[in-house]
Amino acid sequence: MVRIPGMLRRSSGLDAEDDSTSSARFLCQDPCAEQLIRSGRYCHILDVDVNDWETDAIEAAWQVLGDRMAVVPSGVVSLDSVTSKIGSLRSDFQEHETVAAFLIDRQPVTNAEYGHFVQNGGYDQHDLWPSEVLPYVLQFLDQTGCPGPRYWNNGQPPRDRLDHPVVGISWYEANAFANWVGKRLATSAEWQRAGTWWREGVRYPWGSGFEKDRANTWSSDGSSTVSVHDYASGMTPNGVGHLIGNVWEWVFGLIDFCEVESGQVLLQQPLAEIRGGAFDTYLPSQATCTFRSGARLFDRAHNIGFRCCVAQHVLRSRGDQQESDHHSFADDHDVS
Amino acid sequence: MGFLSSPATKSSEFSVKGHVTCIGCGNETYANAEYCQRCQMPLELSRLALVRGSRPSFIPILGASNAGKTVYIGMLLDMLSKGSHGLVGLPNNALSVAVQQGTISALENRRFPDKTVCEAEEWQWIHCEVAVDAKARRFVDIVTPDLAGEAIALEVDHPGSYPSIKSCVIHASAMIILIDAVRARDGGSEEDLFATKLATYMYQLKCKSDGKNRPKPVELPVAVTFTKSDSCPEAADDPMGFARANLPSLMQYCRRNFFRVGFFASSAVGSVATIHDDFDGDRQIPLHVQPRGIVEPVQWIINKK
Repeated sequence: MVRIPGMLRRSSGLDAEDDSTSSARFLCQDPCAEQLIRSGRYCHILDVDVNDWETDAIEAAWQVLGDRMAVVPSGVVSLDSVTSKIGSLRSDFQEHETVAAFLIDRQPVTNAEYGHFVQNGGYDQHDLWPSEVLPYVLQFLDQTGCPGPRYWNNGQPPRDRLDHPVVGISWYEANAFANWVGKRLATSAEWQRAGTWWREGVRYPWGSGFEKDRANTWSSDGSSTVSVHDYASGMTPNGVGHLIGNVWEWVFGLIDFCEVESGQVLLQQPLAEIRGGAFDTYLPSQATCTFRSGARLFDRAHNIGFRCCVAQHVLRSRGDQQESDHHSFADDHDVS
Repeated sequence: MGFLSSPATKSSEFSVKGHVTCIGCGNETYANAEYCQRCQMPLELSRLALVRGSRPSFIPILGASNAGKTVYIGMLLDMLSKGSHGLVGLPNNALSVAVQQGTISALENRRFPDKTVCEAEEWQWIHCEVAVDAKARRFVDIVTPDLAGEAIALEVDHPGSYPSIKSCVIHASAMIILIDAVRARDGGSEEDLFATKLATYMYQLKCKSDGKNRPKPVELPVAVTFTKSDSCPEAADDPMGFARANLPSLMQYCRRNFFRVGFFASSAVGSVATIHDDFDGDRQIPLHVQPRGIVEPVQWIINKK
């Protein structure tokens, strides 16, 4: 059996909220696989480098993955404004980046999903955190002093917001969670590709113009986060929702310095990139698939959440899991 | 006198034979002039008093240099024009729209608006008519010049240096004092002392204008508003506690001399990057616009009528 850190810890108590994992329960006979799937860690079962899982476990993991994630085809992304490495605050600056096909969460990570991480001791697992950050992990506490997102109590998510995006987590916590579920944060180019792959030049998952009824922003009277199941009309054609509005999303990119008229200058404090705008984003021009902003790495803001992605090539092929030379994931899945 | 119950006026009070009397300083000016020659207050306000038959209710917005007055005013105008917290306001002159436009445009292009100059004739007078109850034709006017902080400091130290500031305060129905939260937290007692001085100036002018022989607490609602609270969570989480900890003199003074004082935290942006280069020195870059606590002080003032 595969050994995955934290796998045999206590039950999270949040399973009842996960509709998409309950169907997998009846397909999967392996209790360890079932536990992984129920806590949202199905990508560990689909890891191309691991061949220890039974067919039914793999099939169940695929089933959940199909519900939770969408395929984004490869392509070239034009990034403007603040960039990850060679940053710029000039609006005329653009760079192009090619991204390989990948899968991205259909929704931001919810309080319920993050609850599995907290209750399975995610904050105690040192291998999930960069060593230089470990001293600070002790300070990632909720309102009652328990490990967890800033706005939780007693290590528990608010019961009336289980299906809202988790907020009050730093960039490091987002990365640790992604690591725990066998995924990672999307790069800036990947995140933008997820919202714009279906038509060249679009700024929104639904087209080129802002429509306030399709996303939870200041313009749509957004006063707080909403369920990830709301605003269904704001989805991309392949069913990726809430890219715009509701919460900003951490991506895997740091802004170290930026380009100004007089040349490149260092930021006094490095920032991690955030994307998509939030419920309180005021300007429609700043809640687009192309707008890029930043926040301090340790910020645990009321309006920043995240979603995860996984590269296609790290997943085994469906229905052919015993073969070592698997064929392309995109061959198996219609991305249109 | 209640906040919205400005004294009724006769039409003739502001109009004498082709002249209009400035509601700020009482100076008579040609009716077609734009500004009062003495205090530079826009005469449009006096004409409005004629139409309405009552004085506009002034809410001046004051604060030290770099407290964020222009950004606050610009954001406030923009939010009110779109409708927020049940309030809808319309900028009533081109200059007000210019401040609104200048602020939003600057923030959208990731810079803060240029610093307001000290010359009074260059100040942009803001006038925003906020409908409190449109059916009953009840309005609140936010009237304030977008003042340079240095000018406010000079006027406070030497009353009369800038007559327009004095006019504004004398006719104020309420007051918003802006204080840089980060400077209040990190900058020693300077912010506390300046804010106290400003409160003293306001109090003394109001006492004089109300004809009180012996100073007593005044009714004027004062909204002490901490700006830049995106960079100061202590102020954002508990504005009154923050004031108690960091502005003890102001707290004492307000408690003794103003009946109604509210504490608020505001910010216009969600994230700020600080860059340094040898050419410009340190520079703050607003990364995205995320207003918090901008309209609340005005809403509180209106509810304190």
